[in-house]
Amino acid sequence: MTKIWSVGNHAHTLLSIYTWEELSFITFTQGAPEEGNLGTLTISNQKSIRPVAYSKEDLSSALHEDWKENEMVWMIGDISERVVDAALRVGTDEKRLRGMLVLYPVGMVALDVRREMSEIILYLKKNNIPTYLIREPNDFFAQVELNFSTLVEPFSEGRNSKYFEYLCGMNQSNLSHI
Amino acid sequence: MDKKQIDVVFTELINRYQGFFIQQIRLKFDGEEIFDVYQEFCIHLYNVLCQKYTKDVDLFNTKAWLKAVVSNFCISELRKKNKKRKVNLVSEEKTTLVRSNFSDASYNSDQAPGEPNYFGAMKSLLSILSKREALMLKMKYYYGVPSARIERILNVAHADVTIGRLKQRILRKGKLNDFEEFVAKMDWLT
Repeated sequence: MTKIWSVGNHAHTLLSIYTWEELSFITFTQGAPEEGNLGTLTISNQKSIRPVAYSKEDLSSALHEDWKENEMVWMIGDISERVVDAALRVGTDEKRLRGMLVLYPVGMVALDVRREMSEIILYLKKNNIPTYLIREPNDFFAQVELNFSTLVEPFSEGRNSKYFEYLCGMNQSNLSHI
Repeated sequence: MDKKQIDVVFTELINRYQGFFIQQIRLKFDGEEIFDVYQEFCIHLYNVLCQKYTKDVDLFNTKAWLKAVVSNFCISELRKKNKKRKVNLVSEEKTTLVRSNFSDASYNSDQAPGEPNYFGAMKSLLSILSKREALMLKMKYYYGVPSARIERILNVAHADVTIGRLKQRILRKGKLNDFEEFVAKMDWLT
């Protein structure tokens, strides 16, 4: 069975209203500003809460240790968030990542964040992870009657629609219909 | 950008740059004040994001932009803090306080009748000293300026020691035992 992992705060704001069994959330909450305080990484389906710093290395190692998923995973997230970057690298390392649904990044304003994002896209392309961009996430989640299967099916079939578009990661032979 | 997106941007910036913000604030503030200023800065940052962080603007570097935002905020906080220390002068028309007019003989009119002539006593005692020494005593006892501030303003190493010596010199030159006795000898106001 395939599952959906909503990673980061952007995805959480859009998907927190859904209570599908297949859906779980990875979120990071920053700690108080006093020295030595760490943030908290939460994985909802595993009831895992771990103190961790908001750096790619720390987040990756924490996720590696907490990754207990045996099924394939579709990941939804905003790649301008560092926790998404860490999660998709862990997903590919574990060979459990079936595809990536990228929410239009809120960090597109800054050039340094764009540089980080281009590295992530290159990484997804190299690892042949099918990647789609949801350009208007609010419209996508508001107008499409969503349940788990209606969300995942169009992506599994490699379709394009007015709400999302294919970015990278599939074989050329699979792209003839796009 | 809608409110949800601003919330996401704000959360991400706080997650990434909290340590950087604290470090920048620490350059201008210290102690517990740092965390108070940080809280105020978070509110300011959220408002700035609402107004200026749109899809259209191209920021070259987030950190450089945030550095400008946080240091400008700290400077304006420092200005506000220093402004509070200034004395607010109230114009003559807006106050009911009766002020002394030092330009004529009624300069001691704010002193109640039936008391020793403190002004006269002060004048005669301070005439023993130089202007600078007299100013030091006036600052200490008349205006209530703290010793540390007197040291800074007059460039004196140990104001309290100097003031003690000045008092001794007044007693010696004026051939006095103590100041109470001297004040009692002065004419009384009527």
